[in-house]
Amino acid sequence: MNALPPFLWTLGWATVGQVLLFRYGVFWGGYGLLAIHIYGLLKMPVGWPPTTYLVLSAGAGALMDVICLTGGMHLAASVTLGMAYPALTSALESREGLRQGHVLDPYQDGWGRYAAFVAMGVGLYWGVMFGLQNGWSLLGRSVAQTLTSAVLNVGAFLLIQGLLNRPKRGDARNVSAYPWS
Amino acid sequence: MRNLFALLARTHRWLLFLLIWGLALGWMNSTYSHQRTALSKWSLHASGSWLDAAGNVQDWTHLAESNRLVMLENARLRSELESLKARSREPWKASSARVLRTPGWNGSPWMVLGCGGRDGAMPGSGILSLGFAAGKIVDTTAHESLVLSLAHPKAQWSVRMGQRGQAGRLVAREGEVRTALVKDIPWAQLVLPGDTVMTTGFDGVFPPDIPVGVVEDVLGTEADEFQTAVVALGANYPASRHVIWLNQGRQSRIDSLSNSSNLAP
Repeated sequence: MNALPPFLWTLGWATVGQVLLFRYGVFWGGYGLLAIHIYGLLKMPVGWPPTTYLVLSAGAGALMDVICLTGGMHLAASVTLGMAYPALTSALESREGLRQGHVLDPYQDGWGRYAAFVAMGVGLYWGVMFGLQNGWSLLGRSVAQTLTSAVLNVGAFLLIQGLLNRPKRGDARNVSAYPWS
Repeated sequence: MRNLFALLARTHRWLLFLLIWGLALGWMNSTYSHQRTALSKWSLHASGSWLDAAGNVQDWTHLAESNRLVMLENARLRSELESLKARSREPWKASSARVLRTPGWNGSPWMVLGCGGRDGAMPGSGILSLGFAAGKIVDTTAHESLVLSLAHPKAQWSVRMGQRGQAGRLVAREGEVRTALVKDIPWAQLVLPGDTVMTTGFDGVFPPDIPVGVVEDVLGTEADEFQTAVVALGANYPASRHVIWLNQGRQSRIDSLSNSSNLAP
């Protein structure tokens, strides 16, 4: 099955949700920001050519910049995420490895592993973005904002997974080589 | 060209990444004044550092040239001074020359200069290196000169301790280009490390009181008739790149007298 349409669907609703609603989610005096569109980006399947990750992420970031008038910051952050995406997925793969087309999912890969994956992706994204925004002179503030926003987004993504991405009853197909089992 | 395309194909992901980052920075630069200011400040700092470094390199090259000119001027002033002191009608003339081979190179005590007979150099001319006596020209071609350096073990030079001290013979040590020995200094002469050794001017190669080197050590015991001083030669042959050669009209006349065919006792 082609993995592109489900990814584009997820990225689409996440981006629309971010633009319309979640971009106003600013907590703790600007130290906690929501970026739900990254949830869509982190649904890119394993096994695509690395350049594809780069181009898709850059496109999503540029779209966010055009709509939210953020002037290239989302583009820079998302293209960095796209560049690092193959490394992120291979860093979090289990002992059995990842099959082609696999999308990281807490129900298959484990909640801890998925949370670590999201934390790295979101941390990288926010790190670049806050770094560009604050500059070298406010490095401490950038690090603090990155940490708090990463924690907030990891929580939000796990919540979304728990609420919207639960495996359906029919998903657990009882397919077995042994009819009596 | 094929290799270039292969390199581009291999690194296309990184190139694309850098290109998009460049676009993002350009976009930010046109949108936010704070980032624009920071970027311009950084670029000014970077370009300033680069210009500073380039200026330092340029200064260094100019320094080498000005050092050569200072040496030339120093030699000229020294020769003028000598001519005033000697009230001579024919002062020493100084010209610069490039060093092609230095003593110590390939174990040779000879020096080769990049000026020859067509440049006015002639056998018997004295050579100064870094303001110190270094040797004399013994042979020339049209554009090169062979110099007998102070480091040649079979040559002897007339020197004295300081400007008013006792005279002695400067003799080089075999295979050594940095130090030489000053022999036949009477014990009445107090010689201490750090004393300057000067030319006497007796040999007609150098004007008097040209520095030759600095005393490093004094050899000999009270039983010896004379004392011997170890002198660090100031010419510093291994570092010598440009030298000054000195000439005087009297030299050719002295040489013609010395080489006269009707010399008979």
